[in-house]
Amino acid sequence: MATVKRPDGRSYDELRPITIELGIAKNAEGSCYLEWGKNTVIATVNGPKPVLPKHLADPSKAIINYKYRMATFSVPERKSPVPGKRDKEISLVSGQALEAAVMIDQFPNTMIDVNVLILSADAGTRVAALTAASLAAADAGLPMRGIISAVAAGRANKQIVLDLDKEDEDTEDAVDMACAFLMPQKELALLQMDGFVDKKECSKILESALVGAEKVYEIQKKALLDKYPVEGDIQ
Amino acid sequence: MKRIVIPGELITEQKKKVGENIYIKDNVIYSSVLGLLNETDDFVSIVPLNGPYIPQENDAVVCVVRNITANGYIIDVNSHSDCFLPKSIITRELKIGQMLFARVKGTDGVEVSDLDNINILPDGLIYPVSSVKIPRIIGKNDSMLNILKKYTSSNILVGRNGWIWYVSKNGSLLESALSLIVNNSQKSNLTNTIEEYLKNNQ
Repeated sequence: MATVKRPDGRSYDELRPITIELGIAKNAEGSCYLEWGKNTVIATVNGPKPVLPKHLADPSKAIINYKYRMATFSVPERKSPVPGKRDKEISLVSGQALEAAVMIDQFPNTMIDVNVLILSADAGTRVAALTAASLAAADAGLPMRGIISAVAAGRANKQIVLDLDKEDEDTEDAVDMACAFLMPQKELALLQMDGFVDKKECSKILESALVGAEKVYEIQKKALLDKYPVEGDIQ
Repeated sequence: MKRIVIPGELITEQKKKVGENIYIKDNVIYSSVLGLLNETDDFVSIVPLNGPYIPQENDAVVCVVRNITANGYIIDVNSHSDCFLPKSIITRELKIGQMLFARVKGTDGVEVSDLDNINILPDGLIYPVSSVKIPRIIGKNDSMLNILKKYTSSNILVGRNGWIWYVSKNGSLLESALSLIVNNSQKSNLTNTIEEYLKNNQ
């Protein structure tokens, strides 16, 4: 199977190359820059801080204010900077996915701001955004149960594929399933799907996504440890 | 043995006493932050590498008057939310921007609700750092702090909330030394490195 290639030369179970840099924004408490193939994402985390407007405050937990925005120049045709239906929906579900990782019950009556900006988009931006946002939260030193590793899997040209790019997404029988897992527990935190698929194929795609998420997790782990280089003994 | 751990990492399946930044699920001990693991035969804890200031009672903090109301002052303590200080417990009148050195008297673990032992600080500057780096800036038996005071001929007060008040003859050297400590806080033998740096740049 490894010999059969996709248009960009990847095999069906191969991720696009991912590079991660942490701590890029000096004035944010946590920040992450991520390149995932042709996607580029900047995520910053600020907080916990007082809730505004005040009536949204929850005395049992912190609220996560997740903002997913695409830059006007991120897509071939100019995108309006006004947050549309898609931006709002992705912000909502991604924020809820991040709540699975961050221990929000430790900071009652506060708000955690997560801002994600897509600089360049080439399919799979919501999973790239969530991957970057969870790293930024870890970089900010927030207590977390684990790290969110997100990846898209699906079907293109009657073949189960991992990490779809624009060409895969534009095929006739395309199925695009965006998944986010809480790692290392392997708990599902986000599941969204486009297209038609039967039960058997659906579980196959999900399995493929989990394998992909494990690969993403290894890259995330390396990025977090690389931020603090250690020579010889510690302290 | 010390090493860097990431959130969610399995630390041990043995039964041990646990300190800060740890969570337990199904009798297995996991890390909850990115930090330095401190593990002995019967105890584990994690020192975070970054994070918000979580106030505790008896913390000495540097704080600033942000606003004046009819019956008190709104004090910024670099926490999630501001603290209210009634006028009745302080004899002198304060102005907006006045720096104070105080002790945390009451807290619910998230925000500071009460301050006492309030000292009014003379004019100086505040250098903000992450509150988790403060133990390294003080050093063992104040070793690091004494070196900083000696080589930059400055007067320094370190607040547990991550704000460092100082009056210095060589402010730029002090600030660069502080940023060096913050950026290399995970490394060993830091006091000697900083002493050498200060000697060379005096």
